[in-house]
Amino acid sequence: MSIQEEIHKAMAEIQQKVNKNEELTTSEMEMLFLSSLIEEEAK
Amino acid sequence: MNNQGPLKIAIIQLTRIGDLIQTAQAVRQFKAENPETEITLIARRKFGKGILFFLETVFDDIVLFDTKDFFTKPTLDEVRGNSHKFIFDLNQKKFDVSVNLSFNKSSSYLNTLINCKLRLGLHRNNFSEISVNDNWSKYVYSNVLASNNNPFSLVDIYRYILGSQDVLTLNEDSTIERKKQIILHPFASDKKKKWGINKWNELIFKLAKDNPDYSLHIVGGPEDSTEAQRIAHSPALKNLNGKLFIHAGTTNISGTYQLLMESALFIGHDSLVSHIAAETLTPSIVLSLGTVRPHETTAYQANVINVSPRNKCFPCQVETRCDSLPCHNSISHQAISIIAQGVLNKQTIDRQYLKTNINTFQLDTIQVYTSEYQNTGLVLNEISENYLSLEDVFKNFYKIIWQCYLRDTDINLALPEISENTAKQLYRYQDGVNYLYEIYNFGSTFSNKIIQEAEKSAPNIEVIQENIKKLSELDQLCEITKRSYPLLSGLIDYFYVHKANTPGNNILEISKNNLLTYYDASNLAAVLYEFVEKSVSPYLDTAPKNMEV
Repeated sequence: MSIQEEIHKAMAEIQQKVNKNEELTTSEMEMLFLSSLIEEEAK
Repeated sequence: MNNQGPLKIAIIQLTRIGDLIQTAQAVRQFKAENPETEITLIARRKFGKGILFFLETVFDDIVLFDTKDFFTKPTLDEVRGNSHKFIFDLNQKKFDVSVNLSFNKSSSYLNTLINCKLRLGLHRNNFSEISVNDNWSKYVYSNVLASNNNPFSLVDIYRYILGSQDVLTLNEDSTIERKKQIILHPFASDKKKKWGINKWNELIFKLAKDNPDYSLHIVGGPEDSTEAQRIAHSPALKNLNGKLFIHAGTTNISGTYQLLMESALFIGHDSLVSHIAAETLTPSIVLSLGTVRPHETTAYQANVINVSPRNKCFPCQVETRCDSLPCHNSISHQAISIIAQGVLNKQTIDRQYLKTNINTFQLDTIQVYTSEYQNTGLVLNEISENYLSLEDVFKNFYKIIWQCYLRDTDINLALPEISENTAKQLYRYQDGVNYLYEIYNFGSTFSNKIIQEAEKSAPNIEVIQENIKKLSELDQLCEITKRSYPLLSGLIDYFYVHKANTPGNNILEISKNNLLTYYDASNLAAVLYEFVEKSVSPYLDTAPKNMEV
């Protein structure tokens, strides 16, 4: 699996938790930080 | 606070160089007031490294990073390991307070990940929802990001978020002699924010002609060098050999800072270099075009003349597409050149100067502001028009309201001098403010009903739900009011964000806090109504029929 695919998978899992209104862990927050940095670089 | 040692504050600023300079300008004032604090800046390397020489004069510690720092390994686990280590290292600094001044997504997560006792600015709750607790950050989120009503400089707003009280600014070093040179920065990050080459060619030609003793210097980054060369090689400027110098692409930001230190005048768009010119206290003429909001981002110094177009569509939104750029044509090179000549000759640039020297057609299409420091911060005063526009009238109202409500600071402003036409428009707004006042009063009533029901030993859930539904209908009514009276968005959006962030662990706590919010909102609407009423009343006395819109 490429790193992009890994990121998509990790984000999909986090999104599921967000949709279910479940609390996120620090590690998941760190993943969201990473993903938002990538998003902003692309702008 | 730590058991011993100074209060440790993390400042997060992940946006562009201009924002970094404005952040540093605010933090410098806060630090002067609170010298016992230890302040760390967290910023992106690509924006911070060019101005490190300046940032180091303000911050005790600077942490620079780039996204690519985390992607040095091939697997996501390792990348996550890198980011985890970055956060871990930051947390080793044991911050007492984390302040996010950047209002973008990544900064909101970073602010959440920093362990601290007090968190200011945008962050996330445990469900990844946006949270903003302090009032001035709510103000930024509601009034700065999405509307044109903000009367305050961003530097001052950053100061207010930090809790800085006094305006502490730089003083001119009288030992430095300024040479007869004019620095020009004809570039900006976005096409809408900058004049085209032809306009700059005309201005440079006229400046050279009118000020033969002065040399002209074009500064900019490496990305601007091609455009700078095109200006330099334009046929109209071919006789300026030895008078026009191109530094774009060859002089770095530190060099530009040195150049500005010894120059008599800076002329450019609202951009990074204008903020550096402010740091060197160089008299400046700043052109605001496109999406630029002069009150918010004009360079932070008392020596600025801001020139903006008077077009109805100005300032536009970032997402608005515009190919014809009408606001660019509203500012003539002749007007800028005349103002420049006045500054170089040390004349007072005021309404009289403009009216005497600039022809009516060229003056009618621009708004000219001069800047000055007052006890609340930097203020722009319009000098091109006798009367304030409706937008500027509301900016003044909001200035008083927000300073009083969010900072407990009273400021006295005379009733605005307005034209009869503006009085008519303002008169129409009386109805809008009145609707808003009533909506907020209903909010208090429904919140009270929820509280009364929730406090009963056996509360009726249907009564509570019914009143919650009514409260959400009030939000819709506020939206409708905003559409008909767009200048009320300052108040409406602030209290919407305030309510969305209402603290409380249950319906009773939330409703009690909501009730306070509605009280405050209706009080401010009442104050706004009084301002509007008093401003239009002289016109009602003299010509009541004209007021019927």
